Amino acid sequence: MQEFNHIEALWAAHTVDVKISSDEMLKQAKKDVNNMRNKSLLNIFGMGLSFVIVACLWLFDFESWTTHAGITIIVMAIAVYTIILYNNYRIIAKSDFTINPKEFISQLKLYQINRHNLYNQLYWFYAIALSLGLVLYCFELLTHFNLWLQILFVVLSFGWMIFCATLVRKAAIRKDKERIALLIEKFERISGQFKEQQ
Amino acid sequence: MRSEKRQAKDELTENIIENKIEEYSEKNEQVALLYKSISKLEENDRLIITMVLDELPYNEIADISGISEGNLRVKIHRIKQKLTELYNQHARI
Repeated sequence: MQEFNHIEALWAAHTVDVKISSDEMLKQAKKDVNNMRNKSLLNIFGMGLSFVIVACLWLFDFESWTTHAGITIIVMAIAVYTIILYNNYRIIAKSDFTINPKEFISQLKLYQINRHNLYNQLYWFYAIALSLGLVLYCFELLTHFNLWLQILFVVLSFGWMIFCATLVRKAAIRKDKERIALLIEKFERISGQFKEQQ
Repeated sequence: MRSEKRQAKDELTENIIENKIEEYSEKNEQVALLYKSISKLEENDRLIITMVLDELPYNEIADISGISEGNLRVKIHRIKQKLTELYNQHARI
C-alpha cells in the first residue's frame, strides 16, 4: 500500500499549531474560575435559603418535642454544611493567579480535595443528620395524615434522598473532579508558558 | 569578484525561500486534503484511523474501540483502503 504510506508520512510530518496566546488562555481560565466561584456562591445562597425555610417551621405551633428536635437537627446540619461550603468558597476566592501563581495552583488543589471530601465522608454525615431530623420531624406531622399519605411522604422523602446520594452525588463528584482537574492543568500550563517566556 | 559572489549568494537565498514557501504550501494543501478525507469517514472509522496514524498499539486501539484485535485488523485494512481512495479522489479534483 504505497499510497497509504504517503498518508502516514504526511500525518507524521504535520504539526498542529494551537494558536492561543498565554494571555487568551489566562483570560479563559480566569473566566472558568469566576464561573466556579459564582456557582459556589449560588450553592451557599441556596443552602442559606433552605436554612431560613426550615427554620421558619418553628413559627408553626408544634406540640411534640420530637418535631423541635427534628427541625433543630436539620437546621444544624444545613448550617454546618453551609459553613463548610463557605470555607471552601474562600479557598478559591482569596487567591489570585496573577498575584501568586504557585499559591493559587496549590489552593486550587486543596479546593479539589475539600470538594471531594464534601461529597464523600461529609456527605454521609449530612445525609444521616437530615434523615434523623426528618424521622423525628415526621413523628408528629404524619399523625395528621391518613396511612396512604404517610407512606407516600416517607417513600418520596427517602426516595429523593437515595436518588441524591447515589446518582446525583456520583455525577457531581465526577463533574467536579473533571472541572477542577482541567482548571489545574490549564493554570499549570499557563505557568509553564510564563516560565518559558521569562 | 566579491560583489559577484555576494550576488550569487543572495539569489540562492531567495530561491531557497521561494522553494521553501512552495514546499510548505504544497504540504499544507496535502494535509488539508488528508483532513478532508478523514472527515468523510464514519465517526468510528475516523477515531480508529486517527489512533493508527498516531501509532497507538493495536491492543490499546482494540481496548478503546471495544472490539477484538482480529476484528480490528480487518477493520483497519478496510479503513486504510477507504481513506486512500478518498484521498486520491480529492487529490484528482
